[in-house]
Amino acid sequence: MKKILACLIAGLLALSSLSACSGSQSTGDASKPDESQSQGGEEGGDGEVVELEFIQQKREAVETFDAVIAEFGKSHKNIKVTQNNVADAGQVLMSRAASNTLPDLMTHWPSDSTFVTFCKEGRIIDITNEDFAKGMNPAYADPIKVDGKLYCVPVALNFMGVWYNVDKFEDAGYKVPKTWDDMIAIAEDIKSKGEVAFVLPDKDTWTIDQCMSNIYSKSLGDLTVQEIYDEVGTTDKTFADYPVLVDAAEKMIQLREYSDGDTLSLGYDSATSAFATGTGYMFLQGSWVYASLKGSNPDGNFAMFPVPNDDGNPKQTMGVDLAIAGTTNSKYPDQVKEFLAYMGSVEGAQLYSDLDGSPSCVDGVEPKLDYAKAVIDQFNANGALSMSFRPGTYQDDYRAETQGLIIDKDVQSWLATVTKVFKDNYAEANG
Amino acid sequence: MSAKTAAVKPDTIRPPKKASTLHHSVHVHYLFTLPVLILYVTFFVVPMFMGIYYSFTNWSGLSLTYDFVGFDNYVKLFQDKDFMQALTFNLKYLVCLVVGVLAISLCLALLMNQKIPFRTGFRSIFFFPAVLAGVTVGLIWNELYLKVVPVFGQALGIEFLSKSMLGNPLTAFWAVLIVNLWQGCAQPTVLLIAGLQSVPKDVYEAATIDGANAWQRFKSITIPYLLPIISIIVITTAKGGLTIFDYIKALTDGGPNKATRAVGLLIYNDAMQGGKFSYAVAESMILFILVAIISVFTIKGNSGKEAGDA
Repeated sequence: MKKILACLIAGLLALSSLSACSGSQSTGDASKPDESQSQGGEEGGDGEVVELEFIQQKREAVETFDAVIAEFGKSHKNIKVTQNNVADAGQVLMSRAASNTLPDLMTHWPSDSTFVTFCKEGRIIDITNEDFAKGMNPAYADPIKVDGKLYCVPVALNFMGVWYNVDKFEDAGYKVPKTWDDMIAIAEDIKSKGEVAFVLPDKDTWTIDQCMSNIYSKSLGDLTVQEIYDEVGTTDKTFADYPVLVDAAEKMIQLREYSDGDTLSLGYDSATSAFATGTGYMFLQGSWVYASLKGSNPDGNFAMFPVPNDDGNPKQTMGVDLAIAGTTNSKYPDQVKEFLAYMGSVEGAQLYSDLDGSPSCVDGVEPKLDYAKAVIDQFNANGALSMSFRPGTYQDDYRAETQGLIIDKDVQSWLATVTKVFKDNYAEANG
Repeated sequence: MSAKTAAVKPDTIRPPKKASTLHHSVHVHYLFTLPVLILYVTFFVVPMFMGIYYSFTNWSGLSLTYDFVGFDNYVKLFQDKDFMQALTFNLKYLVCLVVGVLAISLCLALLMNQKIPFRTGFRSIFFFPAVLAGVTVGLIWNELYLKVVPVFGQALGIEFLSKSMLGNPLTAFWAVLIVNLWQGCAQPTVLLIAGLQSVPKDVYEAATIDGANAWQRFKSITIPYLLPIISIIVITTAKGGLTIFDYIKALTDGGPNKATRAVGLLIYNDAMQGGKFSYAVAESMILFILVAIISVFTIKGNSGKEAGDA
């Protein structure tokens, strides 16, 4: 009965997504079935071509994966990987899971609560003991393990910082700020000229979330976010007991004084195109926005510096951006693992990094990241990988409440509310 | 269909009753309903009963197994502050929407039923919003609220219009309602125009001769003739208000700070992001019961009241 309902839901969702938006589907062209059938597979197969469905969630990376898949196809003629990039891929995966028809491969974010649930429910292939997994850099592989097991191949890293309009900075004679106060002094000067210092898209709650962690992660010292979560979840401590969070909340409110005054109306897309076309001087965002900035304004001159903290030596964190995983619904686990191994190899990872412009999780890959030199330097000087798991529906509530913080500007009440929501979710998720 | 109901006076026209031929044609009639009936049962009735079943389990949507938990989900629901807040939002929204749609579309219908120039043109213009998809409308209005409305607000010196109405928790509700009314009045207006045209002219003439003034004619003739249509409008609008999702998803995504988080959005978030399928199904069951209650009361309130009875 569950299956029937699930199929119906999935069918309806699929239908509705068909009518609402057109998904894009593309195939690596080097692995056409008829060609490989005639030639036989190089992997010693019997010439039969196996097709793997690959739901790829990151729309910015579609062309990158097309190229990577094509390259993979050259050496694996009996495996045809079909990339499928749909709108609202997260929801599609959820309904495919409900109907027990997950694709062979998918991209996901290792700390995403849905992905962790997938792993815990046994929907993802465990690759802990595979040869290619053993060779992975433990600095990236260890933090993304779920219950001590590795379920995905981390491909790229991402980082956040302050994007700034280089030309406007040079015209005004500003230097890249080293401390928080330096940055506020610049913002003050910009404000006195009647201009917008920071472009802050507060209509989309996820960007508020990123902005917040962009600030507090710089002053965490030896503490990690996951340690804070575990302490608050298991003891009487509240978020108010962490001065770094209180400080970040106050800084969040402070930043809004140097915006256009109506940040709650501005969404991520509008903000990106506004900043790209010359509105504002600074934009607190992640490395992932680079392609969009360049797309909106190919002649724009943008670079990134780390969000400064009070003492001028911020801890620059990076997170695992995208990871690839195979699902237990796949009929071809061996072929799935071959693709995962390729993505974890220097060859595959270098290609991805070059095309995507992101740092890689694979040792031996040299990323090309001129636009974020200051951030990479800081990461090398004082960096850490950041990975934390949010329980249950905490993320949703946390984001809505943090939007409330920007509206009400009441730090204490915000701390109390998110602590309560967090403790409830933590207790529920951990029995 | 509704226009016809109003036009046909039950006492004057009765269907012919010839048993044998009628019997045969009824079978054929049933056959004609079959395709729709099958689709309806497959896609609405069956999933609904399955939904009832799942609302008594703890299925996450992802897990391959689940347990039967009785009324747990429902008990939790009524203790859930977020759900209650969303439900309050929906009820408030429902009342404003129904009143707004009825008032505006009735005024428009009365206006466009007069002999005014470009009457047909106006009717097309006012019907136009109905052909757009909700999400499209939401995205268009998003830009209007961000870039166009504040220009007028600033020029007129109206403070709450000087910024995007969607960015303020106090005005976001009304901003969503305005968009919904803009689109939601189109269809009712057309229905009401059709209803107005079906009111027999001689009844008005007789009333005029009897000395009834315009208000009395409206109250005692027009409204009773329109009642079946009004009841359809109330039901469909109420359903629309309770299940509101697309406008909010496109306009505010429930923000700012949960100010526009409707039950529909909560269901979506719980199921798709929170991994609480069975809980989300329980939420939708409550919504279903509410829609059913409103429909029953509206139909009951109007049943037996045909034109001229009131």
